[in-house]
Amino acid sequence: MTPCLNEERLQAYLDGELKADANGSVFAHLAECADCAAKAQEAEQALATLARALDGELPAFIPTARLRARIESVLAESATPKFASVSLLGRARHWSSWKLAAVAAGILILIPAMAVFWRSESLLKAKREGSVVLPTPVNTPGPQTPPQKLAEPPVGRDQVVTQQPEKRQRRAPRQASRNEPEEVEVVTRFFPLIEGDDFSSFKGNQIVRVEMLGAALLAIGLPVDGEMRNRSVKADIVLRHDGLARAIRFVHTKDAIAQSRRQDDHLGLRQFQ
Amino acid sequence: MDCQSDAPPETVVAVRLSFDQAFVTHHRAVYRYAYAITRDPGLAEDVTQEVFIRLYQNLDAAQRDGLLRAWLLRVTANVARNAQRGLSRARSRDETFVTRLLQATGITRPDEELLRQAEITETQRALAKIKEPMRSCLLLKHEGLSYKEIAAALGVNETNVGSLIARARREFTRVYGKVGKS
Repeated sequence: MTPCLNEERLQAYLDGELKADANGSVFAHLAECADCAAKAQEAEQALATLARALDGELPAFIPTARLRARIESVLAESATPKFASVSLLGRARHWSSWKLAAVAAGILILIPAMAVFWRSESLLKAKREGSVVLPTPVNTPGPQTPPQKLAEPPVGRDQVVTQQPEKRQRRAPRQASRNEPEEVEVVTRFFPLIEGDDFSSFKGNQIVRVEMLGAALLAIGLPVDGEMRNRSVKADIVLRHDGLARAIRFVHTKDAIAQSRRQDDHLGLRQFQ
Repeated sequence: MDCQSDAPPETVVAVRLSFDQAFVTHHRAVYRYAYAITRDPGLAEDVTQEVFIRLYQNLDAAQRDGLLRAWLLRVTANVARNAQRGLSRARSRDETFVTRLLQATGITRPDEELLRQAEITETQRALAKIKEPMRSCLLLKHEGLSYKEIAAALGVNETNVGSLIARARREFTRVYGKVGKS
């Protein structure tokens, strides 16, 4: 009788990893050794239990179409003229140059048209519904695009939101809003909430308008002074499809700015500004 | 006489796949492995996307040794663990945020920890008890990888893979059975 099987050899046998001759000798040994045969049976039962458990644990449904679309979309976004012929299906590699030129021209015409269409649609929808939650546009900005272009700002029922250029807002939001009409909201740029987040990879986002106590901002590591802690703060939060908040921007309403100014006046601070 | 007629992996001729063929053939294993690591369908999709973008950028290098699936699943493990770290950081930050907010507003919350624990399945609990690289060996074997591919994906010696799987299987059975009986 051949020597008894060690655990490793038995496992390799059960996994079909042995070469034909080794496989034959293990099979022969199992036929004449009751101990090893019992171990093999036990191992097979354990493997069957394991397979059932893992099958139950792992997803049976694979979102193939969605995955394919996402990958194609990312590849299309990152495509430079050098990669213009790239497609997940690999068909475009064989296209002739005039076809590629035609497609490129089509895309160039379509993009601004879609942007205008989307913008007008979303504004109309917001006005119709008075909604404060808007989906982000389908087109996610490229890596160089400033984050505030991720989405249209949320629009309130009686408000028209004007988005100021980023530098101007950051330098002097009060001055920026001084000459605006009553309804104007001033928003800051988006600040990422997760280190190293790349806005360009965001898809299927939602922007949610929230109002919270200033004290809540402490939790995201922002310095909040005593008076601010009890004041209400408005912000837009970018939620990714996983429900996690990824970015925040702050919203100053006309009233909040006016109130802030009044308080500054009261404290005699304005003359020093 | 021989009931195990599977050809040993050495005899399999490596076929070079196009990007599309690679996606069609391997996206399921990548997604399922990403899910096994992250246990989050959304995150598993993100990981799968990232893995195939990397494949697109390294299509030649990924197939140089004829072990494309091993390459994909090695990248999957790296990307998934990074994504998981980012997610747990974010969760911890959200947790702190909510706790401080509730402290500020004086609202009490239900014991979410208990609810979360109830959602962890017996399988997850048993898998969590198995140390690496044994756990990954088990998962990759379940995805149908050969010992050679598992060794390449995990950077372990091919001659040890059988032993690692056997130990992982034994550990799983021990914990899984115990949890089931209790």
